[in-house]
Amino acid sequence: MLRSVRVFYAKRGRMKYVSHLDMNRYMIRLFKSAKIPAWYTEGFNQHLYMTFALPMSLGLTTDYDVIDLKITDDDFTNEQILKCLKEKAAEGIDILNVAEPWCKVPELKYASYTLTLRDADADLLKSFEKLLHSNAILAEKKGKKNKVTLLNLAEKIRSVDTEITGDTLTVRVVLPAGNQETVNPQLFLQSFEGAGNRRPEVVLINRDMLYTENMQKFE
Amino acid sequence: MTEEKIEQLLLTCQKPGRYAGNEQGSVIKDKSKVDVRFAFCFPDTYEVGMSHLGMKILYSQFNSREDIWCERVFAPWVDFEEVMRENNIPLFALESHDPLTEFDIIGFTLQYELCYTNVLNMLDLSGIPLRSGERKGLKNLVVAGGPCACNPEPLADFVDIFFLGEGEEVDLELIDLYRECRDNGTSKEEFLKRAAKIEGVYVPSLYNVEYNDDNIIKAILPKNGAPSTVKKRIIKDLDNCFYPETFVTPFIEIIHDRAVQEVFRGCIRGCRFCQAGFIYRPVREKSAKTVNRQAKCLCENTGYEEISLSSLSTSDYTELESLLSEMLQWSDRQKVSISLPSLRVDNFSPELLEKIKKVKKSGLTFAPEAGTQRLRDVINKNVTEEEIMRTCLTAFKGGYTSVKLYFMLGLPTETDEDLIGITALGQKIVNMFYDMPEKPKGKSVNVSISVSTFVPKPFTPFQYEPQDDLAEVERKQKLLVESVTTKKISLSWHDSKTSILEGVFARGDRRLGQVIYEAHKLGCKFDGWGEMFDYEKWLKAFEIAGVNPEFYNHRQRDFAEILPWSHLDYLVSEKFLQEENRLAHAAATTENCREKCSNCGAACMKVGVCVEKR
Repeated sequence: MLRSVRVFYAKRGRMKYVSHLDMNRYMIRLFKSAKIPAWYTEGFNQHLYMTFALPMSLGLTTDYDVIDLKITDDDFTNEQILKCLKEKAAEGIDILNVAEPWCKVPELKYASYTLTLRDADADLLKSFEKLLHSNAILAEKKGKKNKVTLLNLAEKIRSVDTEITGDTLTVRVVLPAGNQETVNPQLFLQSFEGAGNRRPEVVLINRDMLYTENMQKFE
Repeated sequence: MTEEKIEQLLLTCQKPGRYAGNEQGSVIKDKSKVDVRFAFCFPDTYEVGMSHLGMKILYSQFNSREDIWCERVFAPWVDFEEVMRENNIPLFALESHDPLTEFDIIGFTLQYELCYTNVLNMLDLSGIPLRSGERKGLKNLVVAGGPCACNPEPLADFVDIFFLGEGEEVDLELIDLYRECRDNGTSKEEFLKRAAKIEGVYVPSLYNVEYNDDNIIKAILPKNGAPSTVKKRIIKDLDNCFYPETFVTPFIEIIHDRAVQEVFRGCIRGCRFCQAGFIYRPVREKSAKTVNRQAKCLCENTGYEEISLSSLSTSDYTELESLLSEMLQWSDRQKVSISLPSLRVDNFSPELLEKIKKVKKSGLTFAPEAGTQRLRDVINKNVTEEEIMRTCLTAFKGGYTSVKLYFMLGLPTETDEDLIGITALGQKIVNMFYDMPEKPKGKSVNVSISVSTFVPKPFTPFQYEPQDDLAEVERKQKLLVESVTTKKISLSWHDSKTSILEGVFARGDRRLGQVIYEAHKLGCKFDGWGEMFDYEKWLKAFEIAGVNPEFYNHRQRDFAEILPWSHLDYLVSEKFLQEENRLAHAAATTENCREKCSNCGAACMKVGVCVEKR
């Protein structure tokens, strides 16, 4: 019997330089080296079957990410999987939990992010903050085949909260994420620059949590 | 501060994974608890360097010692180099991100001649003086090894110590001596003098080279007690030699993104153009038992889905079939595919093909090297046209519809007829495919022919031969292109100018150091990369340094001439190389080591094929 499991993990530190495609390859090797009895597809090109709920762009860290896979061995418990993965995971990949998937992947609707920006120019930070609370945050989103769509991010934000302490601006924002629509928080920077501003130093962009439609934790 | 600066800047360049480190299998140690820090530098990009087996072996071996921390360093690609220079970030090692100035020993591996400017550029990016004479203390000792160390003279001004031969033993002996001398406050001069006494260690500053008026070397004179010849080191027993249990497994895709299992060193064949076939003598195999155990362990630890059985000619491995049977028992189950590089046309059997096909189907590549039997005899390739045809037929019957063939252009005694023979052979293979009664319906055949330019190399029978000049190489390439008669043949060839430069440095002497220095000043780097190579700048560098490149590669050398590497001993004797050269000119072949010993000199080690029962 095949059993679906969801692996919850955090990706931090130098792991942020690992792109989604590279993560894909890395995870296959991690599952193999950790000897997880994962299911392989049975077609012409057999490969380990695995799904990332929400691929991450290069440069971002996350406290909460999920991968789904299928297990072929009923006797291999989730606790065992957790233990094996923890042992083999690279520095910066923190395996948080292994459990039966509670939500279906299409139920994923939102993600929350923390952006930490730094600049010596207090006015610059203030104008960035102002932009986030305005009702026109225009950015170009590049899609497949170089299709460019103009977005008003203000309409996409579910909630936003900002705080300036010294030379640092902290932004907590909830944005659409999932199969239907995903908004990348890096677009705020693009929008800011598009309006003719200098870009503040990006200390960190972190994805904090994944949510369903009614802001329940995606588990 | 630097760490944070690096972090900020990494995201502004292509493929930050090249510089980030932190890969699975990379070794992090507490620097306050290690005694010797070794920066293992590969003078090319991360993707190239990380594919290199030697680095993986030595990295793991050094780090298996508690007192040594070995880290990896690669040449940053030009986009990141620019960012580094703008922001005053010195070249750093991937594990600690510490600058190279903090390392005790900086070791380069020299895999090909066209990386020499990168060696200088990497030292320059580190803020370390380029010339060994300018580096006074023992800190930042610069050492180098690898195949190009067999004629390291062009780099003699810049490198303190060269390792000749295989590094597993000699490197650690040198590190131990280094530590002792450093702790006792020994001077660099005294340390180098003592290092030169270790077998396999060559200290270029302990030799004076004198020249005749015609620029040919008059004498190579050792001083301060240095030995008159330096003999290379080899590992006698590969079964008991260190081999890594895991590799640093990169996140980004590298050139050879797979586990690599060494099966033997050296090559029995003695193809006369092939430097590797001579400098790695004698042939020493690992037992199938060892290979199988190490390969399984590597796959389990790295999670790689492919393993390649590596050697200079894997189908010559005496236990290949039984090894494959053993390996298939676990590889199938673990979804690991086995790849066999370097197959020969004369011992490629249907049984072998069956075994390869069980795992992932990969391309088939063979190297006849020359287009006619006469020229194949000259280079001692010892394969017949019949064998080539039979192999291709085996492959076609096994379901393959494309084969790739490697050839060389500019071989000694080559005529236009030999060249046209290359494409004629391709045409014959195409015809054979269509003549096959069982040819797959609706499928077309493709024969890829890749032609590189021959470069005479030290320690080969052709070390005395002139290399074709640029005009001749280009004429021959044109002739080849015009001789292609079908679209089923795809022909590709190497840039001729890089081969000319490679030829100069392969057989160069110390006077080329100034040329490399000037080329570096003019901004030459990544010369092996087509998009970076700038021949005009190199010509200018030769001019500024007052060195005529033609002296090095377009001249017939006399057997009696003192060659720049005459004081280095790679076990093969000059007498043997000269005899092989004579046989080449008579188009006479020599038996391989397994058939008959040809007294090359390597038998003095009393190991491997030299002591096998024939």
